[in-house]
Amino acid sequence: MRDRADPISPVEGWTFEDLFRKEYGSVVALALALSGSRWVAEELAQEAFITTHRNWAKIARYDQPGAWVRRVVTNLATSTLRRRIVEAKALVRLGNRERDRPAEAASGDVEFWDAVRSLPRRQAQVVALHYLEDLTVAEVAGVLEIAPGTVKKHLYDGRKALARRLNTEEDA
Amino acid sequence: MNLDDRARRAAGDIRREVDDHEGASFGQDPFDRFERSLERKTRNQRVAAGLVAIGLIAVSAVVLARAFGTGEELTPATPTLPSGSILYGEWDEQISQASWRVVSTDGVELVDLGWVATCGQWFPDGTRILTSSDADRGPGRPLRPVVIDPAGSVVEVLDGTADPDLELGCGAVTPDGSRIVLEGFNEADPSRNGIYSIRTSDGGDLERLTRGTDCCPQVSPDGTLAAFMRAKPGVQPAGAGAVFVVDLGSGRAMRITPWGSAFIGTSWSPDGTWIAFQRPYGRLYVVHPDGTDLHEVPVELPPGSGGSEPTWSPDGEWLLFVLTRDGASNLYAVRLDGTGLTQITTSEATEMVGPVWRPL
Repeated sequence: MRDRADPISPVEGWTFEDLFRKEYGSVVALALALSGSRWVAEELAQEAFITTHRNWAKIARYDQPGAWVRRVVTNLATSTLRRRIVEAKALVRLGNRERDRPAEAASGDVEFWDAVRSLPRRQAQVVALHYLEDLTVAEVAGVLEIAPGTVKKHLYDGRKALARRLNTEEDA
Repeated sequence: MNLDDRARRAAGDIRREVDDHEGASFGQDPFDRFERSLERKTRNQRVAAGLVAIGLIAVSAVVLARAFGTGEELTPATPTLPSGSILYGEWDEQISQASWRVVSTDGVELVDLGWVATCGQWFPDGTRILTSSDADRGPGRPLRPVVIDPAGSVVEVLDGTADPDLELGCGAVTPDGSRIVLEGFNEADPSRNGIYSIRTSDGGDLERLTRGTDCCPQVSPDGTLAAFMRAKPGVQPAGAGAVFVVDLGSGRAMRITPWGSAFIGTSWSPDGTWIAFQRPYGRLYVVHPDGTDLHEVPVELPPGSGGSEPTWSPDGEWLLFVLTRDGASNLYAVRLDGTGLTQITTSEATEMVGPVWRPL
């Protein structure tokens, strides 16, 4: 079982493999929430870690290398045309190995994540990071490299839109 | 149940979904799969570097032979592939955009346009390239078509549509050069998504043709129709849609392939009788514009590989496409009967997008 207690803080002396093994599941989960496809999520996560590996000399010195991977994967997962290309490439890579394809996510609250994915790009990213990773506004701002005030606005607008779409109450 | 409770429950579902599969990424340990992918890419880069060196030696030999030789003709490396040049993009995952280049059909002469964008397309006369202003896009600066010359210099930004809420992206120029048919979208208001048309001279005179998640229209050689891919929620496999054709005069659109049968990237044959597209998984298909005679191009691709984004050669004899294998992609061409499979590039690129043959 992964340790989710401290999802984005580094541990001194960690190697790239340490980061990969600690964060891979969380990064796949984030990509799954934003893409809706288990196997596209794995492609996106692999791609995000390849980018991280290429820049490891720089990223290893960051306070929060896990945040950097999350930023890459959220950008990959929410770029509409980019997603289509990755999805197409994922299918190509699978080639004739259709039988090996992981089962698509059909369990859980599909309606909720469909609603999140229908939000504007930044709102979807902020909502996914906030709920899935349990990140504070400041932590989401750190991951996405945007101002905390901007995160608050996106979270406010995103929650309003979700409540409307899901016909549910916004406040506890 | 209020929104926060529902969101936390939904988040728990996602975590469990991933935990249940943890340790099995496409049947492999995720890190093992990552390392193999990385190793393949590194090996491909070394191979590509070696091939570039061999290519340079070969070019030098040709130059020396012409300077000091007997005047005998040398046999070209790919004798059956027509000469010409190809525009294509190399995808950069860090910026989620492609760097555009032009390569000759012998795969040697490369021109880096120094242009970064989602898409690129030749004008019908082959003198200019239609692309988009992705690098300049930002608040108050919506996506707009850009015309560049074959050296990569900007000729004109087509910002004649005074609607900052409508992004105008990938598209194609009509055969007479007067209009551009392109995708339009608004990430906050999907009701605006669809295919639009603008005037080529200044980007004005906006006209809406379709309503839907439509991408990357291609205009028929007679200028009366455009083919495009439409996506729809719930269609499987993920990312797939259907090929549609829209009448540019009436705006009437018609689906010509089943849902789930196509990815982005359609191309008209030069005589306008066929449309090529990619069908899952990595298979090359053609269909008539009225939806009849849908069939696969009978090419035998290497095991474990797949083809994407097929596009016709100007002589109508070949299909150019991206072949992806072992984490690397390159440009290939094949005849319509599946013969003559020819590798054009030996690039270091892990992902190539949008290849298109320069019109004659």
